[in-house]
Amino acid sequence: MTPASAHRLSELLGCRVVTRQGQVLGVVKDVRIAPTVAVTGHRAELIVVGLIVGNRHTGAFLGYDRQEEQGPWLVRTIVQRLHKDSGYLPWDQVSEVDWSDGVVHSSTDTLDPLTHANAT
Amino acid sequence: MTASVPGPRYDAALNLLDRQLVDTDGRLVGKVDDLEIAVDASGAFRVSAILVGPGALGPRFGGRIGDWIVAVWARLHRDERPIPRRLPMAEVVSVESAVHVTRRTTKSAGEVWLDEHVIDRIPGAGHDPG
Amino acid sequence: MKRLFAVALGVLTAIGGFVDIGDLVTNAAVGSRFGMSLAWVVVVGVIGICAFAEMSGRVAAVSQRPTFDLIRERLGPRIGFANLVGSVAVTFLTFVAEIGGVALALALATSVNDLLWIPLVGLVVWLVLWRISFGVIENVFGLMGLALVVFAVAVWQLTPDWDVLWQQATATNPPATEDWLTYWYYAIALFGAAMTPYEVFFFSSGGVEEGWTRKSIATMRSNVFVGFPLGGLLSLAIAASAAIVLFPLGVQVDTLGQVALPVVVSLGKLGLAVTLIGFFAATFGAACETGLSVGYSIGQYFGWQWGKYVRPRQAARFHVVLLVSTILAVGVLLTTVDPIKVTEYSVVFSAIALPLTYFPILVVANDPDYMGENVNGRGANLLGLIYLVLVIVASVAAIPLMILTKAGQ
Repeated sequence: MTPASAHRLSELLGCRVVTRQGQVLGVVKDVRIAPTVAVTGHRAELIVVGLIVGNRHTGAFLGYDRQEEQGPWLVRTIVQRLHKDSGYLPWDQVSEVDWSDGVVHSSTDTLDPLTHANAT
Repeated sequence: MTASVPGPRYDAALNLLDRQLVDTDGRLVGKVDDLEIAVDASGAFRVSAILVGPGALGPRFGGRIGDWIVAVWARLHRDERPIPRRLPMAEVVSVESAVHVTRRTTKSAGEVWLDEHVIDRIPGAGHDPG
Repeated sequence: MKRLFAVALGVLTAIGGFVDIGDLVTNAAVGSRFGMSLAWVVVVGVIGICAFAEMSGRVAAVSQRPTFDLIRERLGPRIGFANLVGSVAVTFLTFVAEIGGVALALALATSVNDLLWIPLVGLVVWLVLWRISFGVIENVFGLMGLALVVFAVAVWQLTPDWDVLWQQATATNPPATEDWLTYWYYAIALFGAAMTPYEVFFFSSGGVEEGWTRKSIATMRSNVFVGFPLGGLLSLAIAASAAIVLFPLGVQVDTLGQVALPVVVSLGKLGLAVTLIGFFAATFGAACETGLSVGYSIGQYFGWQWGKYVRPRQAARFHVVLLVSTILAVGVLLTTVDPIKVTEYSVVFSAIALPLTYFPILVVANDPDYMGENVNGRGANLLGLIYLVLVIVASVAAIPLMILTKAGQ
């Protein structure tokens, strides 16, 4: 049974992330999700806890942005150089998601540094 | 800010999207073609289901190709206003190199059609693998 | 003891299964036109296929995910689809060449025109893929392919001047009858013949078909590091036989019969008979592999149940793809296109498609979330990076060279 207010992850990906002043921080490249106390079936429910924001013109990270030492070094260096302006936007810094326009409104002007999803 | 709960966190596009779905019998079910996000009363965005099939994959292609894929799928689908094949998150058992889900009991519409009209007409379709 | 037998079987099957129509035709053609001066390309190609087959085999053993599954997952649906189209096109072209090769081998053996054999070969290939188990296909055609050792025997029997051959192999210039452009064009063709993309799809999917786990890695490595180089030696033997017999006479290789000529010259009718068995095994085995690879790639992109490890009823879409591919391949061949020409194009297009396949494998083989502690070591990564650069260079240079040399004329 599809919930009444349901969207797709693909609608979030590619949304422009815009500050209150209208500056574009980047586009949504990925969505970080984390378990909550609620349980569904075999596992905890997963909710969105933040957005990975990056440059619109470069493609996928292929996973290199989040693992420090993943080889081979040449590929890692090129990918990290292409994505040097990326960062992390915690969900509590998101003021609004405009689904129809494809815009995420941020309440902060700067992004946090990007770390691995399970980094302590 | 929600309290931290123990358990792995994921980057949805990297760890979940486009992963293979495998059921508890080891059968391949499809790919995670998209994820359904439900907005809670409290405003939290919850991952509610996995979406599978051309109806879910088409929009990710974007552009005219994507529209065409969805159009063809909608035309061939039995229902008037079809929704993509949906696996609620409750059926996910674990997330590893593939996403493991509970045992499948039904096939997709496309598979059933091919089974009836092509494969079952060739002798040996039900034989055990060598 | 049983373990030893399994390892030996794996190695022997890898040797006999290494050569396909692309290797047969390209090595003989190169030997007849360039002597042994392009032998180094075979060595480079074999090292490359060993490195990447090991990587894709290790990924399949550790994660139970075959190569094409990972391509869509890493590159996303759009780029993954472009990759699928390119890879399937090249693999299908190779499938056409292999079926044509089987028909040519049968035509040589029976003097019945190859065009008449084509529909029958298509039907039998499809029947084998429908009914015969994966393991039986691999082992039967792999072992039968060992008949191609006859080329090594022929080279020995011809008592060549080894100094001359060594001179050719280490020469820094192409022979007088050829120029640099055709030299590099054929280098790329030979490279593509040794490092066919379908081999990696097939090898990793086969690993999943056979249920490889971490424990299978050692056996997999012995197959790759012992079997593939010895198979590469067979390729060199084919080239050498042509270099010894055909090169001095200026005879170019245009038909499968000419590929066998040096063996006939040195070992007579018996040699020819063994050669024909080898041709049949190599091409029929490779026809099965390429046909399956088309099904594997498409099935793994969409997430369908694929493979011969389940009943056909459980993998309906996979088997429909196999059926349609075989019908289409037979259709293409019935337009009387020359299978040798198709082969020559398929190896060059293989070289062009190589980066599509190898880049995702290199990335995934390094991902600890997937591979745990079995990620690539320094050595594998060094080799992987060097070859990534090589395959990109070869891929980019292929089309201009094809145009400039009019496909090697």
